[in-house]
Amino acid sequence: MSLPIRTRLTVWFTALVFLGTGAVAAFLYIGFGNSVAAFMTEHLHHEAVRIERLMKGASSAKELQKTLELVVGPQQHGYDFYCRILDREGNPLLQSPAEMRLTFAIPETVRNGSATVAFTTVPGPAGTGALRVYTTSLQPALCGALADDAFLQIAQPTEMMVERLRTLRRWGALGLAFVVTFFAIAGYFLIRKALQPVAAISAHASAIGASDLARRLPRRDTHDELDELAAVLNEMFERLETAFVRNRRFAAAAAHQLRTPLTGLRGHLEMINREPDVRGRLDDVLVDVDRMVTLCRRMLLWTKVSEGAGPSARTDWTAVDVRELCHDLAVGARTTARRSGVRLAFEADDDPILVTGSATLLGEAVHNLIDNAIRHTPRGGTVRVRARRSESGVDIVVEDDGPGIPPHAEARIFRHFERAHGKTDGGFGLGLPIARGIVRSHGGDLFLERPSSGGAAFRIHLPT
Amino acid sequence: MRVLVVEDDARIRRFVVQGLEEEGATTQTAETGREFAALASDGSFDAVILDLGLPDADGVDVLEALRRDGCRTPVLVLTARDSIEDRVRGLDAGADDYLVKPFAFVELSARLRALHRRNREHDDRDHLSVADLVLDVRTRRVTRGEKRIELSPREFSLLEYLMRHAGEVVTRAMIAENVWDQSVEHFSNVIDVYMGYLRKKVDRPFDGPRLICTVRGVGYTIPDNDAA
Repeated sequence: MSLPIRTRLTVWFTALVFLGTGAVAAFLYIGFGNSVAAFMTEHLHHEAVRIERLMKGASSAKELQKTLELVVGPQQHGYDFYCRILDREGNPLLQSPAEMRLTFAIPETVRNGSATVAFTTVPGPAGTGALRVYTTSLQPALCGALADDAFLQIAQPTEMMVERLRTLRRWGALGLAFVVTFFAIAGYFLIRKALQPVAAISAHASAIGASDLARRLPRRDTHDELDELAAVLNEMFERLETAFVRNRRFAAAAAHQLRTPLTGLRGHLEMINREPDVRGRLDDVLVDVDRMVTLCRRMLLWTKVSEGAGPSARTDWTAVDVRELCHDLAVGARTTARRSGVRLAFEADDDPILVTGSATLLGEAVHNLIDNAIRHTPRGGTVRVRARRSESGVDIVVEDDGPGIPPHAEARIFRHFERAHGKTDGGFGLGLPIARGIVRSHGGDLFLERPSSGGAAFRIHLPT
Repeated sequence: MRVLVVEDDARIRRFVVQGLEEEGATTQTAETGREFAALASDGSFDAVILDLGLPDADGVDVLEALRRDGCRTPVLVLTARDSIEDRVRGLDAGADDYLVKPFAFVELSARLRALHRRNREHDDRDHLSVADLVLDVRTRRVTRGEKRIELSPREFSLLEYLMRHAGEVVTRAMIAENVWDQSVEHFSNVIDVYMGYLRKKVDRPFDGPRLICTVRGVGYTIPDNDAA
């Protein structure tokens, strides 16, 4: 899951609040339901005792019926209340006038005498809720006039109880929703506030990578977890910077040290190549040596302009006409382009476009882009070089209609010795990192763009 | 031409000396700053090739001291250091040209000859002429015979540079550095293209001899008046 931590934490927190509050509410609800049911049972029991007491005074079935009519009925209770006397088979001997054509079986425990009373719940008449039924065997003295042994059943709809519980549920749900919403919102803001230092750390850390490795994260000196994190990250940056500097120094020293033996090698090959009997036979070897020389030069250049190398010297900065520079480089690259069967087009405004910088370095950057584009454009393709004034400076775009940069290679192409298309393209894998380093040292940046025509487009932006 | 080669690396010294002698120069060698100072001070050399990384001293310091003592011999500095600061420091100390290792010998020899020649005549000419081609630096007018030739600013600078070095071979690197203010790596082809433009305007429309010549493997040249 890629949701931000604050969202995830809020979701978890809310879920926990929901579970906790829900559990408490459920306990309360169940307890309340139980006590309502107990109250009802007790009520039925009291009624039964009262009816039995009244029945004692009746001598005939008729009187008994009257008694029943007296105790039962809506006027007595304000709600339906059923009462009847059944024989052993469950046939009613007497019943209250309230319409009750329902047969409730006599619970087995009461019928066989193992229990004197039983409570059951049965479905009520159609359209009403369930009925709570109280069944008890009548003492022979009470039922002598009717049958040998008889049973008294009284029933009361549970609707009242159900209605109360429903109301309780409704309010409970509302309360729960309110509490959960409140905690969700409050929790989100609390978590966001707690995570704010993390956002600050990440903003500072990303700035360090892009510009200057010597920068450090600000400490708040609160000595909490996040402050400790900043301290640990700072230590890591320290080690990183040391490693980076050592790396760069090593590359510079290696390239530098290679120059003297290469000079000797090149010079001697050149001398041998002049001898009448070898004349020209070492030309190819010299081309290879010159390739090594170029690599050396580029490695040194990379160590000077790569990320984190610090501000570059501005001793040779002058006003450079970017339009002319691009034009000349495009003109010069036509020979190479023609050899690869690639067309090279140059478009620019007519007026000079001046920026302040090093002509040599900017030339190197633009050349690297053009060279790159030609190498990655198939025969018959076109490379376009454009130099334009933009709102905040100058844009130099080198666009090709080659295969483009595969998305997975986008991050790699600016790293040294990495290439988008394997090892077969004849480059060193230093051109783009150097170009970007140069442009950044001039206060600009190099962007990779995807033109609608396909292919790849690199855009140098320079401030004026 | 008498050349003093100051270089502590024996292999480099050997091929430089061999190359120069094959081209008819006489050479003498020095391996340390002290030797260099001792030999250079008598002023009998036409040019000095000086490696900056000497075992006993920084070549720049020795050179500075020599210049203070009034030594005017042209000095071509050889170095593995190619940062702009190093370049500026070398030239400020009194070096006349700067070549970064590794280099091609033809480059070294072409620069050395250009240095040697420049030393003989301080070049503040406003009028440059080769055969019937005339270039006026102040009015920026170029004519061949009676006919005016229109040149773009870059073509003009290129022709001026060639004419100032008439009779010498100038390498592409020299042209890139002096006309374009660029390093040669990416401008070698540009120079060839502009040389083509220049030939189209300066040589092709005229019946006279072709003035701009290619020296295969080295660079270009315009003959001086003695030859033309």
